This record gives sequence, structure tokens and C-alpha cells, in this order.
Amino acid sequence: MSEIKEAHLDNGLMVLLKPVRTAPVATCWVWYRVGSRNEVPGITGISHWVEHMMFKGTPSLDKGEIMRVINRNGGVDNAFTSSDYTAYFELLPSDRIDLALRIESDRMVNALFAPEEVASERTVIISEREGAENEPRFWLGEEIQAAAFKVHPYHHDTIGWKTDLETMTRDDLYAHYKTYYAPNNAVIVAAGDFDADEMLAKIQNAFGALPRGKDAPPVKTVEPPQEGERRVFLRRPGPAAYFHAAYHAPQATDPDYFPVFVLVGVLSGVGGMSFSGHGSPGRSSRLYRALVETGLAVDVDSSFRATLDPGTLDVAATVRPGVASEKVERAIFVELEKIATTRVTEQELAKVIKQARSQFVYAMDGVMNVGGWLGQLEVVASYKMYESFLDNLTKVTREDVLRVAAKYLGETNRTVGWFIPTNGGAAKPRARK
Amino acid sequence: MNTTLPITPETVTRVTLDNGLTVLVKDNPNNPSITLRGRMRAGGLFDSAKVNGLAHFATAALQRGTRKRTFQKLNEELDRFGMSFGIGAGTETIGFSGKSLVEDFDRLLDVAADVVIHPVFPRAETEKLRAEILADLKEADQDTQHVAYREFRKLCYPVTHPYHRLSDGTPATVKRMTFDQLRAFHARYFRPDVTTIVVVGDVRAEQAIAKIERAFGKWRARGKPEPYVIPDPSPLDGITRKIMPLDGKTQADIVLGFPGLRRNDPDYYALSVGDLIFGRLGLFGRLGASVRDQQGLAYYVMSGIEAGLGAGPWSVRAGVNPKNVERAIDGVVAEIRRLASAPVTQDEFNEARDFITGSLALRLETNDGVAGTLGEIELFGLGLDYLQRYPNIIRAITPEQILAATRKYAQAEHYALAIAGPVNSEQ
Repeated sequence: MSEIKEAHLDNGLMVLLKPVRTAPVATCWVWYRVGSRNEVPGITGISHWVEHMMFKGTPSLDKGEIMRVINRNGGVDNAFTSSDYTAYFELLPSDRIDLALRIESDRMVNALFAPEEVASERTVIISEREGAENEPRFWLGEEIQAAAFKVHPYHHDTIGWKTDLETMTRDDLYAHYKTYYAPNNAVIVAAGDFDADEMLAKIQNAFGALPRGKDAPPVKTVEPPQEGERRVFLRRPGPAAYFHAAYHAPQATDPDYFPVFVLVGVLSGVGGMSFSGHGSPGRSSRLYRALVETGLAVDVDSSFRATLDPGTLDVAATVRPGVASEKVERAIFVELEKIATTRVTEQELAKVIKQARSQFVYAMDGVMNVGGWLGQLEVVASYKMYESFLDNLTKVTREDVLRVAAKYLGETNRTVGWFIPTNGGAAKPRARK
Repeated sequence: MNTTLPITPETVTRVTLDNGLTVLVKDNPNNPSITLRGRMRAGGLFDSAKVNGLAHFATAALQRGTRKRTFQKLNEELDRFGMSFGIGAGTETIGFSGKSLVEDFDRLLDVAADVVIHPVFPRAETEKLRAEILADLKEADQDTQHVAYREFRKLCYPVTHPYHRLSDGTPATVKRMTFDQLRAFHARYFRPDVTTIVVVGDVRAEQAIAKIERAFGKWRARGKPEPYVIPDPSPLDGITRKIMPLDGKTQADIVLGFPGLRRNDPDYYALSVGDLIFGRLGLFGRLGASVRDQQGLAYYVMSGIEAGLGAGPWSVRAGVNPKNVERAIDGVVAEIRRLASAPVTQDEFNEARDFITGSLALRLETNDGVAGTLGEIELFGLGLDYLQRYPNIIRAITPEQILAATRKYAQAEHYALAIAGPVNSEQ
């Protein structure tokens, strides 16, 4: 595999290039160092809404035109927002990749935010939230985040509180855009069928003339240590009881990141390692055996995302109908206590490392994933983490896993949430016609 | 630049083993992994209403224990080698899918063959699976998208048609199913002569075929396969509508559509280009431009054709606030009317054509993409030169053909509509 080329334009734009010359395609990603962690009460959800507005037109590209012109050239594109970043990507036949550069450089500074477009997008954004609200797990996740983070902006979900979505103004959105969208607050990643020097020249050509922006305001808030278990209960109609526990956990740059990654792997396997970092649980893992094989839960999973600020290690389960919720909670805590007091076995450690190695290889099939991984890691830590990922994982010892389990999985560090169905978990349509 | 198509008669090896199993291999040395895909012409279409969900349950049960491996041993082996393997039944086909590093390919094949050929349906594990399926059904019963789609299928196809029902069954049928029925389903429908296996990855074709021969060569079928018949649906007569109120929901999900066509129908290409323009291209095509972009009614509103071995539906799906349900439906119906009243513009057609032909390379960028395309080519008998012919097939379509095809299948006066969410049944 080729090396990753790093470059910096004079206006501060960071460039990462990875030629992969196996298929005639190329991908372009622009990652802005802004997400819901940069939001304050009153404008929660604004980063995600700004992302929507980036498809609503610039002086040279009408609304809706971006996706159409990408499609017409045989490509696809989209965007997404998380707590730590906002990312835009295009995947195109490699001889059309210049188009992506033109579009991205245009909307980095020229997006219009026409008031009528803001107005029609408001209902679309609210509709996106309402779609999520149909899922019991969304409600529970939102409650857990809000309880686990008292002061840090990880307190709120990326979609934002509904009241803020109803009241935010066009000027709020535009100000947010102008504060965070600038070459010096962005990383462009290209991967695929191109020559690195030629691609760098094209990027210089497309982005070089954009002015450097002011430095984005830093997020200074630090979540204080939690000093006792927190609990939330949610009572709504739903098909089952859902359990969710969140433990404060280290950020991606912390030396504990890799031991915690292994810890989660032992608990529920290393599934589908796409850059978004989550997949289906391994059925030979500890939690599956203790919860699903015993018939207590229908599913169980643990997860741990690479984040910019300290985030959470999460454990979630769906209670099997007819089983008492307390039994599920007890079984989960027994497993977590076990892993925090007794070393994992050599075999378990070896299994997690082999799983990660395979998943890493699978995820490298296709340039989209490569671009996604590089960009995400750069925003939360450093893209260099990509190349040393497996080496660092291999260095983790059984003692490391025990140490981080004891450090993070304690009772005082956890927020426990229960979704309790108010309709007895049964679906009862009121009428049929 | 590398411009060769990965799928041509020269680059793909296709053989049929003595037992009737078809094997397709595409060697790709660029990633040290293997993608394994299998497909059988069997599935929920063989389930009568009484045993709705049998194919789904029986197929999922295969992994719960085999002659060589208990469920636990199988899981341990997959996880220990970082492999994945899964098998499941849909209405028209049963599919399995696996992934491993090249060095573990033999092991992956051994697991696959063991699961497909030698399941033992162990009692305790199979009962656990039954409980999981029942819990899934219960969850699905409060999922607005699922409920709307399920009810739409009931309205769109008569009760005698296999598409009337979803293949995952109902709580009543799943509870009743016996071990004999599960075993009998496997014995009757799992046969090498209705099965195709696709391998894409870092392995030479002759080697891959020899390995598959070793793993699956002794698999034998008795007699002839069951006749595989999916009747053509009759066109809808008027408008049917069903409302499913669900508690605790914020958004209503809508499915509106018609019986569509088979993948091998001569109208298929014209209709799929029409569908692209109608509700897919850009941000959900014309539907997105009007219902999402101009009216701001929905986060998602899109169309799709499910053209398979049988004539699956052509439908529009949308999620909207309950107070906007009627406006959104009006918006969708207005677009259906527009689609049937005049040909798409030359610009729209060019855009769709250029997307379809230009994006071929994107679909073939990964081993999974190549394997999926190869599976489709084999299932529908398109031939290994299909991708070479494909751009010309699309270029030959005219806006008039699109108009004729869309008119034939989509009519504003005849459709099935299901709504699930926080709505009243009188609405």
C-alpha cells in the first residue's frame, strides 16, 4: 500500500492524500472541525442544520444542483455530522474528481443560506428528528447523554433539542457557518486512482485562493469527574424494555484508548470496523454468552467511539419479553465486575487482535472507507493513528485491560438508563380499517 | 488509469460442478480477503399462509448447530479467526454471505458447507432462536416503517400471492412451527442444483473451484427441484388505504405503490430509468424536489422498484409529521400524475442515463460490490458480458418508452396506500 502524503496550504487547509490505484474511482472528503460539541443551549443542532444548508445553493450552484451534477458525472455524494466533526464526501470515477474539488471549495465560503431555504429546511430537520423519535432507543440514548454529561456539550445529541430547531434563526446558522467553515478549520482527504503530486496541485488550485479564517473558538468546558451512579427512567409506549449504561471513557488521544478498545472487544467482539467504529456483536463474546445465550436478553452490545473529548463506553441490551429487567441489569454488572477484577485470557486477547486485524483489512477494500478513516482519525486525534493502529493494539496486555476495566467500569462512573414500555410491551393498534 | 471492467467473460470463471452447483470466481489480488456469497432459488414463496415464516425460521436455525459444530463452537471459530458468516431467507431466495482473510478461506468454506448441508436443529438452541424471532416480530410490530410496508404489501397483492405476506412470519405461525417442519424445509429446498456460489478475492480461480469442490462436492440432491413459480399479480382496482395507529410515535410513515414487474421484463430498463427520475436521482428525484425541498414536508421521500424473479412492488416511501400526511400524499400523487402525463425531459433523461452508465465503476469498487453484481447477473441469467452491453441498453431507451412503462405500472387512480404512526383511523 502506498504512503499517505500530508501537506498544508498557506491558508491553513490540511491535505491528506492516499493513492489507491486498484479501480478507476476516487473519493474526496472535506472534514470540518465542528460538530455538536461546539454548540451552546439555544442553538443545539446547528452544526447538523448547517450541513443541510450546504446543499441549498451558492451563487454558482443552485439548490439541489450539487447532487444532480455529481450524479450526472456518475458519482455519489453525501454528508454527515457528529459531535466532533461535519464531513462531506464524493465518490466519482477518477477522471471526474476535479468536480468534487470545485464544489467543496465553492461551498466552503460561498453558501447562501437564503431565508426561504432556511424556512423550508426547518421542517425537514424537525422531520428528521421526529423520525428518530419513533425509535425507543433514540429517546433512551438522549436521556443517557444528558445525564452523563452535566456540563460538557456531549450533553446533547447532534440532532439538537426540538425547541432549538423551532426557534433558531437564519442569522444564527450563517454566523455558525462563517465561524467554523474556513480552510484553516478543515482537512481535505482524497483517496483513489490518482497521482499524489498531481492531486495536490489540483487542490492548491481549487482551494489555495480561499482566505484563512479567524481561529475557531476552542471548547474549554471539561466534564468534572462523576462521583456516584446516575439513573434515568423513561416511560413511553414501546415494544420492549431497553437497558443502556454509559461509563465515562477516554478520548482517542489518551494512552488508554487501545486497552479500552480491547476491553470492548472482549465484551462484545470487534464487528464491522468501518470508520464509524461499530458493528454487530460477536456471538462468542462475554456479553452475548451471559445475556443472549442465557435467554435474558434478545440482544446486547457494547461500544466505544474514538472521540475528541472524553466520551463514553456504552453497554446496551433489549430485555427478552417476560424476563424481569433487574435480572438483565444484574447479569450485565456481574460481567463488568468480572472483567474489572480478573484478567482476560490470552485466548480472548488474541481473538480480539485477530478480529481487529481482519476487520481492518475488510475496511480497506474500497477507497471510500480509507478516506473516511483518515479524516475521522485526523479530526479526533491524528491520521497517523491509522498506520499504527494494529501495532498499538498488539501492544495491549492482559494487565492493561484489567487496569482500564477497573478504572472506568466502576459504579460511581456510570449512568444507567431504563426504557420502560407503558403499554406492557404489546402492540395494540387502536383500530383497523 | 485502470479502466477494465472486473466482470467480463474473460475475467470471471464460471463452472457447474457435477452435483449441479454453479460457481463463479473473480480473482482480485488487491485486498488480502475473501468475499463468499451464496444464493438459492428458494424462500418464503414456498410458505403457505399457515406456515408463513417457515423459510425464515428454518434457514436461521441452520447456524444453531451442525454435525461438526455446536452453536457455541461455530461462534467461537468465526470470532477466533475474524471471519463472518450469516445465512437468511427472503421471499424469493435464500442467501448466505461470508468474509475471511485469504489465509482462512478453507475454514470459512468448511463452516459454510457444514451449515448449509449438515444442520441438526438442536432443540434448546432452536427454541432460543424461536424466542428471538418472536421478540423481533414484536419489535417490528411497533416500527412504523415496517408496519406501513407490511400493510402495503397486503393491499397491493391478493392473499393468494406470495408477496401478500412478508417472509418473517407472524407470532402465531412462528409459535406453531414444529421441528419436523423445519427439518423438512431444509431437506426439500436446499439443493446444489438451485444454488450459486460466488467468490471474489485474492485467490486464483482454479484454486477456489477446487476448494469449493472439496467443501460442497459431496452435496447431493434427490429428484427434481420443486417448480419455482411466482404468479403475475393482477393490476390494482381503484385506491385502497389502510391506517395503522401506533402509540408513542412522533412521525407517520407512508408507503404508496403498485405491483411492479419482473427483473427480466422487457419494460424493466425503461421503468428503472423512470423510477430514478421520479424518486431517486439527486436528493430523491422529482419527489424530493417537490415534497422535501419545496414543501419541506419530509426528511425522506423516495421511490424504489423491487424487480426480482417475480414482479415485486414499485413504491414510494415517506416519513412525515402526522398533520402533513394528507398534503404529502397529495404531493406524491401529483408527481405520479405528472409522470404519466408527459415524457420526462431530455435533460432529465440524459442525467439519469449518465448516472447509470457512469456510476458502474463505483458499484464495482469493492469485493462486496463485485460479488453482489455477479450474483445478480447469475440469478437473472444476464450473462457475463452483461456489463459490457449495459451502457448501450440504457442509451437505447427513449423518454417515450419511459412514459409508456411508467403509465403502465403507476396510475394516480389505482394505488395501495398504508400509513402507520400517531394517526387516527378516521383520518
